[in-house]
Amino acid sequence: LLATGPPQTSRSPVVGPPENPFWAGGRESLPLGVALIPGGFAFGFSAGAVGLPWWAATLMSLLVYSSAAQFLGIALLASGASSLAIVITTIVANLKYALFGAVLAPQLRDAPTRGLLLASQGLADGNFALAQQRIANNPGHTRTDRYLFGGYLTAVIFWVPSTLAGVLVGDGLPGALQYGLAMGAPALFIAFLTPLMRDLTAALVVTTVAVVTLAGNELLPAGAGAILGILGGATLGGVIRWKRDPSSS
Amino acid sequence: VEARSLLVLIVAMAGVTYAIRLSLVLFARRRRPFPRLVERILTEVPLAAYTSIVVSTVLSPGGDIDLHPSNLYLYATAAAVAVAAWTANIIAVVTAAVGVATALYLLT
Repeated sequence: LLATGPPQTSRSPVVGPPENPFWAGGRESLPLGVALIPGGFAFGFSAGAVGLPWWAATLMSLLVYSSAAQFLGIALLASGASSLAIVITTIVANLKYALFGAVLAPQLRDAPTRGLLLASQGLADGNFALAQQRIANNPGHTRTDRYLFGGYLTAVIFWVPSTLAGVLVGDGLPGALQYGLAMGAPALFIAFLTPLMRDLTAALVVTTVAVVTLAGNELLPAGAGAILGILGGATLGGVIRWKRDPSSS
Repeated sequence: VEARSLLVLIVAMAGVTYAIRLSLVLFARRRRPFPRLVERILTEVPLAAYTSIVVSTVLSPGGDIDLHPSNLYLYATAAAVAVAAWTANIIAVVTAAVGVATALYLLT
């Protein structure tokens, strides 16, 4: 349906030993980090607005490192929800990371357990998308665990200070810019999504996810719409492709 | 909220999130590959996951579904898709979307 852009490969024209995936992850996550600034800023601003102290918002960005769970968390804090309700919502909102783990698993067989323990902390939306892109563009890639952890370190260098900045100066931003910056995070994933919109099945997946996610947001507890939408859309698309050609993988 | 209980809450949120992320270790240590149908479903997970992130903000910006032409994020999304179809540069896509949303907000 839509033409894909030129592949964003990391291969350098210089002949030499292959780059350590840790540094590749760190470098290729720089645009991700920049793209996370508006989201971090918006989170810090929202956290400050509901009365969260600067250290709590900053610590949440560093440790939880999950945009959806963090925004839901402060919204629930503001509404006076119990800590248990917030933790349960965090689990529901982040269940998708278990799916991401399953998707990346074949690429992680060469990783030692210590590497996987570090890489796990980097298993968030943006880093997952970059790792997927790297795997697609570099068939001979190795040590995706290092790539993920390098990417996490780069991303938090942007995500955490922009959170702090949002708490401290968020209110000073003009309304138009606040409105526009909220488009930053979705735009990031539109960049990853558009090249995947290659056929009718993909369009069906997107439509299913959109309908189920929005219906879930309206009718179900916070965070449930997204995971149900992802499961529903991916299952539908997977079954269609499997029925068409059950043998190849 | 008291600082101490806030700290406990944040650590708990981070703990459960990390526990879910550890599925990475579990799946990577699996010996047998997934059945083909499961593999096919997992192949569709990235597209599905990116979509769910986009639709919540774009189609229900205030928490309620808003498909009215006055929802400026619809135009920002169109701009982002157009730029993304043309280049894989994510900064260009983000800049276009934020730019269009901000500009339209100022103009309307």
